[in-house]
Amino acid sequence: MAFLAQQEAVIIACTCGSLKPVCRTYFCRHCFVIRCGNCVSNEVDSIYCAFCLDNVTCEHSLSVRSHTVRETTPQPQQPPVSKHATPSNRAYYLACFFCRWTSRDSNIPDQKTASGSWPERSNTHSTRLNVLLDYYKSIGALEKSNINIDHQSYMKYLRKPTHLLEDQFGFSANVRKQKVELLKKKNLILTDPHSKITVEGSVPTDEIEPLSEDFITKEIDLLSIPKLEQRFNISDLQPDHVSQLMPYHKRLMVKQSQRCRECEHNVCKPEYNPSSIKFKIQLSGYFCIPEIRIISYTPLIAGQVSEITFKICNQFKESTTIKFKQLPPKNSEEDLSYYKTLKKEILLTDNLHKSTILMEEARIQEVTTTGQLDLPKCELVLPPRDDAADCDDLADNQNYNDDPKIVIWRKCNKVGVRMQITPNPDLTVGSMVKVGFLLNFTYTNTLSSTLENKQAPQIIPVDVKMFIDVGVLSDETEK
Amino acid sequence: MVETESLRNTSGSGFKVTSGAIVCIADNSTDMERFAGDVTIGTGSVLHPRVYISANGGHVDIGEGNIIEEQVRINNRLSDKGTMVIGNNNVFEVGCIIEAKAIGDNNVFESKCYVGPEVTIGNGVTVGAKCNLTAPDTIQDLSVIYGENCDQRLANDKPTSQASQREFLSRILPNYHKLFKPNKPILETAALNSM
Repeated sequence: MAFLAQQEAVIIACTCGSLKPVCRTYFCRHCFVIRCGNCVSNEVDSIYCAFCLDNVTCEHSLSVRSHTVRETTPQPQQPPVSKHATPSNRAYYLACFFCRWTSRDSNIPDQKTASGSWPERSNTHSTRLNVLLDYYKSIGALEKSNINIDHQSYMKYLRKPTHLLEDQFGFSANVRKQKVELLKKKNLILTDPHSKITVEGSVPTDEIEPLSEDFITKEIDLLSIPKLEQRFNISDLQPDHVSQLMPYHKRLMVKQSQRCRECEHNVCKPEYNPSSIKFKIQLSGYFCIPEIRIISYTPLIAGQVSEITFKICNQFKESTTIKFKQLPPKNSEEDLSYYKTLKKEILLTDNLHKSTILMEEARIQEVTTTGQLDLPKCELVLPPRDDAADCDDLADNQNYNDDPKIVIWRKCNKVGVRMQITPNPDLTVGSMVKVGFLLNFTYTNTLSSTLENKQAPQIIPVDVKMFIDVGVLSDETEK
Repeated sequence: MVETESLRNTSGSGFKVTSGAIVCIADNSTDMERFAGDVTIGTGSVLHPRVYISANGGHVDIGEGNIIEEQVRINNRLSDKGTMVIGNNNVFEVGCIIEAKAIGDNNVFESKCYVGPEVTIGNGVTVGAKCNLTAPDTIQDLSVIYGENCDQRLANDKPTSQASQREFLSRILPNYHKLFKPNKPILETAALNSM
């Protein structure tokens, strides 16, 4: 099912401007707009280990258990902690029940406690790495400090070739002053003696330890040599013998819920328990927005009229009325300014305790259509979804005044619609014919009627931009 | 021990179980087909119901203290019609297929693994779940074969002893299963059970 819906032939433009297939969208039933992963706020619900599904509930236990939860064997397996128990003197070691590796294989001493203070391996280059990190940090701080140059204006200055023409025509005093100022600032950064940290460059050497004499003749014991994958997992040590393999840290997984940016209601919420695969997804766009699928089309030839059949399916539990409208030619100014307010928050967590939030710009996507769709003028009424009716072949007593030229068939909540499509005459053979239209459907707000009881359910018209990749333009002669 | 040896030597026809071994039989007539040819099962071995042992290609000699779980197939398909010798204290988990040339002691064959007829298994070997060993090879002692690519590594110790599990099974299984009576041909026992 997900595979069918995830086909990117029929794409919906989200309120934020990005394009998504219908199953990747949400429909907020409080603001009545379409949302997608880019324009909802994400919220971390629970953190868990993807391998053993250990749920790490609070910050405290996270710091306490970080060792055991994140510790894994050199091969990517879960870390069951076995007891090596003698009642008087109980000791713990890590064991992998998959490949039978134990921490004793790597000469890691047994621990007194299960959550144990397992020794961390130290990077042999850690001092050098720290020096370099400090250096880059200082450069970063310099650039941000109050004497920093206005980077943009400096780049603008570099891009304009006018300073090359200085000798020929001369500059006004004003421009020359600006230029001197800029250069001064730039030099200040690079030559400021107080804030400069010097780093010794690494020195190449010609002296390499000679290989032992039997290096080529010695028989290789493949069982004692770690595989490339195992070496790269411990990239800082790159052990050359299996006994040096050490456990490495695994990343924890996060279950997060999505909230609408404007009304802050949840649009998608998973259960906290990591082993549960249940989601509250009634607000998935798939269940609210009428689904459109291409059924068939006659060969598409540039400039000529072809026939295309869609299946339109109402997945919502209330009936809906749909209309087709022409697409506005481009994203309007108003839309664009709205899109820009919807920035995506990205949570960056560099370790367990520190996190920063980055803002990602909205991804506005322009679509150029390469074909014209002759849209039907009439309205189509789609009955609500009824799972039982799907099995009932006799329930065809519907009285909809459909134009038989447009509506080919009806079955329960689905309707087959025929339209005329004309690919643009200047389109080359083999290129994709893309059409778009504005789908206007009515959304019945059952929420308001249930809350205040006697009120009739509110019916809201919603516009969705639909883009459809119909198919490849075929050659006229092939016909 | 002496008794076992003598039985093994005399085994030349039918299915021989030394006293102390526990062989469960399922309660239907087709069950007899599960043991074909000359099979000897040593003291203290535990065979769950629905174990298939075929010695049509030659003798199958199973040693002492083995645990053979459900749906295991042990099949002598050796090209020279020789005896397939399985050592002591091995564990054959559910659904593994064993056609090996020879098997040593203290090995673990995890679920659904396959050991082909040209393979010799040493001692303390672990063959992981769903690992297939088909190429002619001798698996050295303490090897661990695991993962979908049948990666191999050497363990430091032999697999943990299954003695307690064996003890538990030999206590529990007689309560819920019909057992094969040692030193009697299987046909006779099945007839007794059906009476």
